[in-house]
Amino acid sequence: MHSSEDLAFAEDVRAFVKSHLDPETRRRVVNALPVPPEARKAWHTALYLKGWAAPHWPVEWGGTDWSPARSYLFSETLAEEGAPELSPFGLMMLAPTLIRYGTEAQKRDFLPKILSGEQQWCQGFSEPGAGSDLASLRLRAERVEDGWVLNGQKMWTTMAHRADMMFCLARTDPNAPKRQMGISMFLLDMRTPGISVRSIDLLNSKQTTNEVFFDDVRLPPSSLVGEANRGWDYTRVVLGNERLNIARVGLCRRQLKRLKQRAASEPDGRGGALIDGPLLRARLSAAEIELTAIEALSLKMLRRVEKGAVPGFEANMLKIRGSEMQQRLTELLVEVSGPGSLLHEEDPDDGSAALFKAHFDTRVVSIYGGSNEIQRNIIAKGVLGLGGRS
Amino acid sequence: MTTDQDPGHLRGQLGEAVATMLDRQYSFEQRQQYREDPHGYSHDVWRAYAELGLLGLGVSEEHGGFGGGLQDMGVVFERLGAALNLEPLLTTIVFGGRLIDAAGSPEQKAAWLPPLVSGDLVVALAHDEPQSRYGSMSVRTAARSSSRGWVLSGEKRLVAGGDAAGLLVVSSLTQGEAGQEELALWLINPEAEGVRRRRRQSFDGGGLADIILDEVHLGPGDRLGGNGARSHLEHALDEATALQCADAVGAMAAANSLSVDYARTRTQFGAPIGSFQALQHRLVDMVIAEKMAAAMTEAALSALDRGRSDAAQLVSAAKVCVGQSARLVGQETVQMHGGMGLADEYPAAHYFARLGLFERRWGDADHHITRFAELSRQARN
Repeated sequence: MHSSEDLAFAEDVRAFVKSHLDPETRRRVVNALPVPPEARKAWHTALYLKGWAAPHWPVEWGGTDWSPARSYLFSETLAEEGAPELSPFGLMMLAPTLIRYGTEAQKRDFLPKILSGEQQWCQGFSEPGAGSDLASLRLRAERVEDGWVLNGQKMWTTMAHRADMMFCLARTDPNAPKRQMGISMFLLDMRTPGISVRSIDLLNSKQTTNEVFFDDVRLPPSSLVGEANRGWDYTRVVLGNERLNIARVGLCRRQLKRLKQRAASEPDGRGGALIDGPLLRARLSAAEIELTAIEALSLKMLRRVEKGAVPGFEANMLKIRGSEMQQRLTELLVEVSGPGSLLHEEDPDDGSAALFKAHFDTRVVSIYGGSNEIQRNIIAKGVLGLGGRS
Repeated sequence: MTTDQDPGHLRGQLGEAVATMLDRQYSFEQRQQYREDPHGYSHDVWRAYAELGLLGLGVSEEHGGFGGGLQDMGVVFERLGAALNLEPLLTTIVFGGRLIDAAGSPEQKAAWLPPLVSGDLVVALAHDEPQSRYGSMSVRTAARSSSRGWVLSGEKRLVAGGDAAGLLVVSSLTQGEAGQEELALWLINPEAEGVRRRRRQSFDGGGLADIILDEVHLGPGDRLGGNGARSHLEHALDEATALQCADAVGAMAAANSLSVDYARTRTQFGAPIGSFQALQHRLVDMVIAEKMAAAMTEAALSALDRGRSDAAQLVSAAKVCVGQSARLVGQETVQMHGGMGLADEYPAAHYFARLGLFERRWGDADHHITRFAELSRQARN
């Protein structure tokens, strides 16, 4: 599928990771250990200086003119090589939205700082009463003479405690004929008076996501993205349903490799190595076959995009199967590691994270960014033409 | 427990007594507090277990116990699993009370059973080793004979309850009378010379210990079960596995009722999410999984109580069946709850951890499928 030029390019990417990524950072990524913010920043800077921080952006804003195939290969290769993922909120979610719908001033103010990594963003979408039914959101934004006043609450706001800025959805017209038509998108500084952040601990970890409260938060007119009451239309871009790498094949390839290494070194309790057991071999192979099929569908989508099509519903399908594959692989890693996966703390003997924690953390991938239930609803309606409640 | 009453009735009473105690002392919020205790569980609750007679379950009455069989204990462990209990009750009852009662000398029973029943002794089985995975008889720890008895050395890994235990039941190889290698069990004080223990923590709560045994000196009075140790140990491991199944069944039942309640009350798209057929069917599959697991567990416990020849096979079958169910229910519990399913301050994620780690103790599906196949081939020959 990939041209020989692109395959040679992938080798350059591998070489770049080897020469520019701190081996300690790579070790932490591969072993599912936490990566310190400074190490993430250092990697962002390395990519930025090479001109690779946001290859999918237009050239005029610091992107590249790569083909979709090359962009795809780039991302998957980085993941496969154990590079930490850059925070997606600015680079992957907001920026494409601003490039398409933002004002010149917004692009000028934010895109360079997102590209360099000096400004971190968080995403204010979900609320206590608006999860899978995002359009029921209630954060209220009222138009006043000198801008907007926001009151309400966001929930599950990842990184809100570290972010400099937030993009959020708020209700600007409660009387719109359809709920989706009364929503607008805003950009705001997290230090704006009236904003407070409360952490939500996830199982066995501290400070990983947040609630954000808005109490008479005053924003200038320039904080609005695009047109008022059009925010819902922009969410498709934000949620990345058009993203080519949505199935995260590279990450899965890396996990599969680690899984096989682990199975080769783990004793089977009968004097041999675990990987020689036929039951486990069959499960590992079945997972690899499924991953190969996911990759085949990704590449098929990519070929259509190369001919000018938009990604379409394959992306929703790949979100479902890709998230399930990530979960399957962490679960297999827990199985393969046997009693050792009971441990809560990092295992000093093999430098791994608490393996069950990594498995638990992967549960979120079928929940966030439009849960798998919502993806299935979209396919049922959009592909199969089966209407229903929505 | 007297035997002239209907056992089902007695079991019901026992279950209610445990439920009443747990209602008072084991709310989810109280459990969150107990996790902060040094051993990761509540000593007050341990006292309450003793007062209810739970620590004497399965121990014969002549040694201060209250009798009862595996099915009675199953009722208790279902309740405890539903409450996500943290205390090392299972190891103490099975590898302490039951095993010493079955295999101990009169002196050993007199020394260890009364303090165990009264709540003053936690017992753990130090059997698994770094190379043993779930191969239940793969032991390298060795006891060689010396002038005064034996000297034991080896390494034991991730001993459940090992951090809190006041007595360890340790397995080793030793030389039998005819010179053959045989499995031996030893009762060892964890504070004895040559024993080093490193406390570890499991992801679903509950303490563990890695234990190094370096030239531990033992006398004839420390040996448990003589040359019948191997079959005693195999039987105790089956009992532990079956009771762990009961624990998981209780956890599944509680997780399912949590999910059903959530589906009834959580509103999205203008209706409770439980009104959507796609979710209804998945909730039904979760409940079917729970009921299958419960039935299979009852069959295994009953076979153990009756001493049936296929009991070991049924235990392996239960472990596989309950494992499949636990996986489905644990994962779906999180998915049904969305973000709430991940939060520390809400029980769903804790059920995921309990159920997700079910197969990491006393054998996973591959181990028990293989064992099932071997046992059924032996039964045919």
